Amino acid sequence: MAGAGLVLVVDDNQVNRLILTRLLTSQGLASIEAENGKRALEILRESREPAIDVVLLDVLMPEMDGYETLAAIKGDEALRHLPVIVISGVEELESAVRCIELGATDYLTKPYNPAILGARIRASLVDKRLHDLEFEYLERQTAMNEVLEVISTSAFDLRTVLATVVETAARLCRAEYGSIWLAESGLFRVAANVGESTALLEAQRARGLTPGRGTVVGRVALSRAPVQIIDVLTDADYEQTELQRVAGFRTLLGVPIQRDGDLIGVILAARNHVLPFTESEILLVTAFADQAAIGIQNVRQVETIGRQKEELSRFLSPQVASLISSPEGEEMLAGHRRQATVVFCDLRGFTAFSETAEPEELFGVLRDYHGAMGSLIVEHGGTLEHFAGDGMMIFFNDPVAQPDHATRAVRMAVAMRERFVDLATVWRKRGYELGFGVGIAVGYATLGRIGFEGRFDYGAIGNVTILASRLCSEAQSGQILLSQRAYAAVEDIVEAEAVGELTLKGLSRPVPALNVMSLKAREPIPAS
Amino acid sequence: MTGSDLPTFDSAVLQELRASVGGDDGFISELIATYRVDGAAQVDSIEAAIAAGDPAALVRPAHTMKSSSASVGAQRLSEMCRGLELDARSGLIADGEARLAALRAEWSEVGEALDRFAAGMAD
Repeated sequence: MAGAGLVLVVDDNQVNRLILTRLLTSQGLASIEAENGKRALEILRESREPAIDVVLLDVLMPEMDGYETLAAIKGDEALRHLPVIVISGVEELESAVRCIELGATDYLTKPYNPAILGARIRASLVDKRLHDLEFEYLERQTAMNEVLEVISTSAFDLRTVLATVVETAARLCRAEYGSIWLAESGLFRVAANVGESTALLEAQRARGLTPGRGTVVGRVALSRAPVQIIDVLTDADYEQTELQRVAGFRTLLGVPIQRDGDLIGVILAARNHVLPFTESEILLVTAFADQAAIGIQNVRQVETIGRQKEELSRFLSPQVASLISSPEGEEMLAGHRRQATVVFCDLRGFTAFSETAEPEELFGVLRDYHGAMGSLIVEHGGTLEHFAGDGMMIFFNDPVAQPDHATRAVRMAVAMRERFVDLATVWRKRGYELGFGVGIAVGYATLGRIGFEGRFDYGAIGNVTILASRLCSEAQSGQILLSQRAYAAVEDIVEAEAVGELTLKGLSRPVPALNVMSLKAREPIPAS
Repeated sequence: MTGSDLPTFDSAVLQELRASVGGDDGFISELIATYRVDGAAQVDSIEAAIAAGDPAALVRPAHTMKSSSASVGAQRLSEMCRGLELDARSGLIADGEARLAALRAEWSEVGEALDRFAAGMAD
């Protein structure tokens, strides 16, 4: 109803009301009549569509006079903003002053000039529209903030997000009913709704809607643009006649929820009377559709991240998987320097075995081996950097700090060696002769993302890595070779034998190394 | 001011109103009819108040009649009612019987003038 205006004419004189309403009609203004102030306040306090824009008020009236009425309007929070033009035959300046003091917008004396009456009403309408716009803007802004707040605080709860969006959208565009339909493999189903609910509606929900001219949701699915049916009763293509009869809606609006060009759903708003949604209401619902899209995407992203984390942890060490999704992950991945214990292990005789074995045998051996060793790595909190065939590199003290990193590494290696004995026994029966060797070194390494776009590893680079790798190469089957520093860190818990100084490829000087014989029995705790 | 120098019916008031509503004769006829029905009731109320010597009861009908009469161009009648309203508010109605008789006579003349105006409009 923008453009026109609705005037409440308050006058006890029937002749004057007749003249006023007719003058207003000829100026393109609609009007409602009240014969006194009391009745006027009743009308103003009813919720009506369209709302009253201006009050034309007589001063001398029975029941409740103009002064009292004016005071009541200005004392009512919900009516205060309404422009009131006082018209009276009381020509005294005194009454005009009193009316202005009480908050009247304007004052006209009888006889009035119709053109001036019209001009003053139009001026008041402009004021009223500005006020309404400001109020509407604030109302919408507040509601949008509330929705954003819900979206940002309920990222895991799609139901709450959608319920808030649809409730707020319907309320702000004065629709009795609202719903959000989400696309699921070609069908649209209700994910949230406000307003009345009937068995028929429930049945329709369960069935879902398909793209087509028969429903608003279907039309939005076809056009991917806002669609309005001003009156479903006069729309030839509209098919939900039985549902309409029960629910009683007349004007329908559907707005697409889209993300990156994909239609993910539709917001529907319905009125129980025929009143087209205005351009600004359609824009408003579109803004809510955008919020819904963000909310849906957030929730789906959280779900995806959860799933990816789960997937990743099956491939990566759980530490790296959780690092990737942690807030400080990016910083950690960018690279940092830290002391670490690096462990290399591989199978002796594997190359020869792989050349002669059938693929099924080969993968069977690797599966058993990775399975057994993998669980020990996890158990001791190691980070598996990579495994290539039979070789594995594991480090400790990163990304999660472990003050006892060297001890953990050695305990893991000893446990692996023990487990390997069992595996080797089984393999030997099948005719496979395989051994197991380990190299362990302690030192500073640069840790972080290594590789190239598309294929990155979380890795450790430094002399310590090279040293551990070389020690592993030198290890005889069943040996766990420690660097000097690694031994120094664990000498309290291991029995080790020196294997002499080894000349290792890539290292300028021979390095001393020790083989772990066994873990020391735990010292009995002295009785107190 | 007694109102004797004012015209009984100033046709310019209704002519202007008619022009303001796009020459809607139907509306002017409806307005005249409404005024005559409502006016008769107001004149009766004025008579009853004067007969009862009740100034408080006179204020409203005199006020209403003053206003609607002015709206249709019945200037002298409006002025007579204005005088009655003012006196009624002060609580004293002098020459009540005589003024009532004059009011009745004026109301009848206004009626004839409005009939003539309506007839002229129909031509």
